[in-house]
Amino acid sequence: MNIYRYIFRRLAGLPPLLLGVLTIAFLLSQVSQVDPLNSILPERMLSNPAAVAAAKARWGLDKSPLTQYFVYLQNVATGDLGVSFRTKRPVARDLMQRLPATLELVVAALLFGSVLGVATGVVAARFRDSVFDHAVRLFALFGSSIPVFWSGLVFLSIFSVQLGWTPGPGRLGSRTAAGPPITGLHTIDSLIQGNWPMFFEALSHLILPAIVLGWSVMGIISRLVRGSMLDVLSQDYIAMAKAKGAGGLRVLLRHALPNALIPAITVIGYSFAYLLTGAVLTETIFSWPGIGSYAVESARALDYPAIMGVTMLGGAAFLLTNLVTDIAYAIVDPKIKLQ
Amino acid sequence: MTSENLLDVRDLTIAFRTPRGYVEAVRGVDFVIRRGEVMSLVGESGSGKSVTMRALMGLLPETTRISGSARFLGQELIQKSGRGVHGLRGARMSMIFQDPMTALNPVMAIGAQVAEAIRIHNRSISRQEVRDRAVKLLRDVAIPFPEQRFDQYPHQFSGGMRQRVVIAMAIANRPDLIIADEPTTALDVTVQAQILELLRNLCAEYHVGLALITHDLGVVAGMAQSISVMYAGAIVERGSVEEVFYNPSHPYTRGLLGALPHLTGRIERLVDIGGNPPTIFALPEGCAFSPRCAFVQPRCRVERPLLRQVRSAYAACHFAETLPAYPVQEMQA
Amino acid sequence: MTAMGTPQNNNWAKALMSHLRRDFWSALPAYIGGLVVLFWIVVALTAPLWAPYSPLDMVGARLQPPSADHYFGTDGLGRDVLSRTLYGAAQSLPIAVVVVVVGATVGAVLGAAAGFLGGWTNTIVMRLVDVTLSFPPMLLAMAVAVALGPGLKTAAVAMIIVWWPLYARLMQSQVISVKQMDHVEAAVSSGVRRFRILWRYILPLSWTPILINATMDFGQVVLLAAALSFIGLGAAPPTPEWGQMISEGAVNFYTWWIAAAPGLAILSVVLALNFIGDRVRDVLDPRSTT
Repeated sequence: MNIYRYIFRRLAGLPPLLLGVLTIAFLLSQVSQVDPLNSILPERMLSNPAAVAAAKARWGLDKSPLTQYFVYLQNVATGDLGVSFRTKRPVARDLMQRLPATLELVVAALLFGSVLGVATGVVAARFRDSVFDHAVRLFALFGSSIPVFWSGLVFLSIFSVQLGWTPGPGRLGSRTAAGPPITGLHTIDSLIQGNWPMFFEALSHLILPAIVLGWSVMGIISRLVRGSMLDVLSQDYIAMAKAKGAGGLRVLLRHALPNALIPAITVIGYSFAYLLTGAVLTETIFSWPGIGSYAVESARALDYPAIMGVTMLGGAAFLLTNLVTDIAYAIVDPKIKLQ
Repeated sequence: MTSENLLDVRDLTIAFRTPRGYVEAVRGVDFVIRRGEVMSLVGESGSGKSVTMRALMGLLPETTRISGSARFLGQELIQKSGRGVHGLRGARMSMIFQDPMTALNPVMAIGAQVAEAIRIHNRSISRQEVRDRAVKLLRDVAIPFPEQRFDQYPHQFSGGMRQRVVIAMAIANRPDLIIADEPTTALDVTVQAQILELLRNLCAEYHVGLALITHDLGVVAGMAQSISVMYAGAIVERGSVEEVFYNPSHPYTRGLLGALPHLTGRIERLVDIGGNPPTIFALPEGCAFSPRCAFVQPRCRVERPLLRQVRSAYAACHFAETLPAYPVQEMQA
Repeated sequence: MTAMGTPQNNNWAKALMSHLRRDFWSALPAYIGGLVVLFWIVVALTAPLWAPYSPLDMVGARLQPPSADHYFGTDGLGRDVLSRTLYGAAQSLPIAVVVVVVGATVGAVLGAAAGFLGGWTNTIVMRLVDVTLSFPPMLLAMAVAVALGPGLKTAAVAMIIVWWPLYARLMQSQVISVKQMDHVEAAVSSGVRRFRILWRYILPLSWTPILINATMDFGQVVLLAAALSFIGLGAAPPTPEWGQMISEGAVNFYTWWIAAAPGLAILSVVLALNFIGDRVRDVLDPRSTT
């Protein structure tokens, strides 16, 4: 079976899952105690019978739940996720505006977590049962045990408040205005515009939350890379490489690491779900204006349409990253046997 | 030590670190390999034959204790740090592994793996030249369409073809000594013969010494000039293939030859020798073979026999001369 | 959350015990973890005996840093942080137990039904599992909690909804692999009743991995429960709950002590549970023992 057929088959499996995600969201909205009209109309329009009737007709609220379900699917398909109670703006527009900040944070955290995770995993496997190995294990366990909403707080009070090494919360200083968005990621945008002071400011704001968030996934990656490195290092082809006269570093990096990284791809890709979970909390602590803090603000205000929009977006993003991960795995592993 | 000795191993002892302390897996092994000679190392699984050869290649874990001497081309291989040996490994001596299914890196193209063997020891030659030489090596080991197969991955090759690639890497730098660790055990019977034929021709052509680790006495008879029999980490009999096959002096060797089945020549299960080999954790007093020996005497249980000359070969048995005459067997080739 | 354990290693408890005896030093963190967990269980049951003050009353000046009177300071309403943290154990730990026990039971029952009955039951259950696992856990839990209205009970329901599919998937694959074992197929062909086969032949060989995974998931559940409370979807404000207390401390970076004690409490519990889980994984995962 070739790679294209595999990709095609995986893509074909995506729509049913997306439909399932939407169905769950719809069922939750049926369970919800909140009057759906609140999520469609601004408050002042609720007393206007004409507007209410129009909205009911448009959303099929006067019809059976099944009809409502199809109307709902149709609306979501056209990008209409309803109006937020809190911001009084379309949820879809809120989400698009918030997305780049989360993307920047999650990518930075994933970069930090996987680089550190892979590096420590490799060294821990090379010096198995050494002091370093045990230290890495402990560090990793701390990372997955510490609540990010607390470690963020601790880091902020140490590095920003006490030591003053990093700026406070937020994406940029309070007096800095972001330039016109290109990608919406401040670090990338400022690089494109060649605005170095802006780049360093964005980066210095990004470092602390990225470390806090990245630390939580670093442990899983480090443990997995260590395990698969140990597996690989005991293989004959490693002995073969040594017998060819390859030096220690070459054996480790050229022969062992690529083999050990293949299973790591899956874990790094799948850790996206943990990062989204962690981002919700990290963004709240760091006043990071992304999807995560939007979700928390909406949840605290019981802003139902907003929280459903976030959940749908999260589900879709999660499904897509898993798909990309599996395809990347299939491409990278030349010996993979696809059923 | 004569000048024609390629490899001269003296009193090689290897101890592994285990949770119960250091345990000797190889105890005082001596042997010599001459240029152009095929020396076979024979014994049951766990007798220490692979460990001995892996120690010479520097493939044992860092925690392993190795003592004794192994002089190769006048250089000492057993050193505290492996630095001096580094340039020899893969260049002047190389190794062929048992299972070609696992001996090749699955994520590296075949050509790149062969080219690496050349490149590591010749930093100065051009990329194109390395590629040309690698293709020529693949052709030398009779891989069809080497140009086309250069960029393919191991999983696209059959077992026999993979073993040819491994051999190509082993001869890449025209070594003086090749260590082959059961090179045909994992292959189909028909492919075995082809690989042995290839090895035999290459050894003759390049005039290299070959250390052949094997279970298969049929292979020994067909390829080797000298033989060393290992039991429980020590050599119990050593000599020319003719002498040892026709006139074995050690009861264990007799058992091995007696166990030689007439069709396949495999000795994986030694039906004629009762009992199991001892574990290295609990060696018996005296002669390690004494619990299984049909000719055992009281002395054997207290005094460990040393390897000593018996006729034109060497054997480690107190009663080598007084054993009953060996029935001359028909050789299987 | 990883699936592990084959039906064959049913004597895992014996393996675990012999390993713990043989390897005291590498098992030390797990022992310490056990002691810490035990400590918090005792605290959860007997907090009123230990706590110096009432957890709900104003017992000192507001926002006092740690002192001899208040070892972990006082919060914005003048309540003693240490007392609230000790009482908090009785809020944070039971919810994790409920979520893991109910989640594992629901998941195991549905997974066993899917694997044993096959056909439509299998399709429906496993599709539901796939779809539920398509959401990032935190976001789904938030959505459910908002839909049902905030509170400790709905937070528990939300977490059960997030967690059961993991056990269902594990149980389903276990039951299917046990179903194909020789002695089970022999029982089927000799006409043993279906229910009896499930009860006597399949389940005894299938449930251990569920138990192992449930043990290892405990830490994650404690974290998620605290996170939901931190956001405001768990325990309601006056209740001393750790996540809730941290959110009160997050208001101001200068009064760091408000969040210190509950944060350390969560960290110690989760770390202890993870020490135990890490050890269990090491002992039972065949890959790490070679």
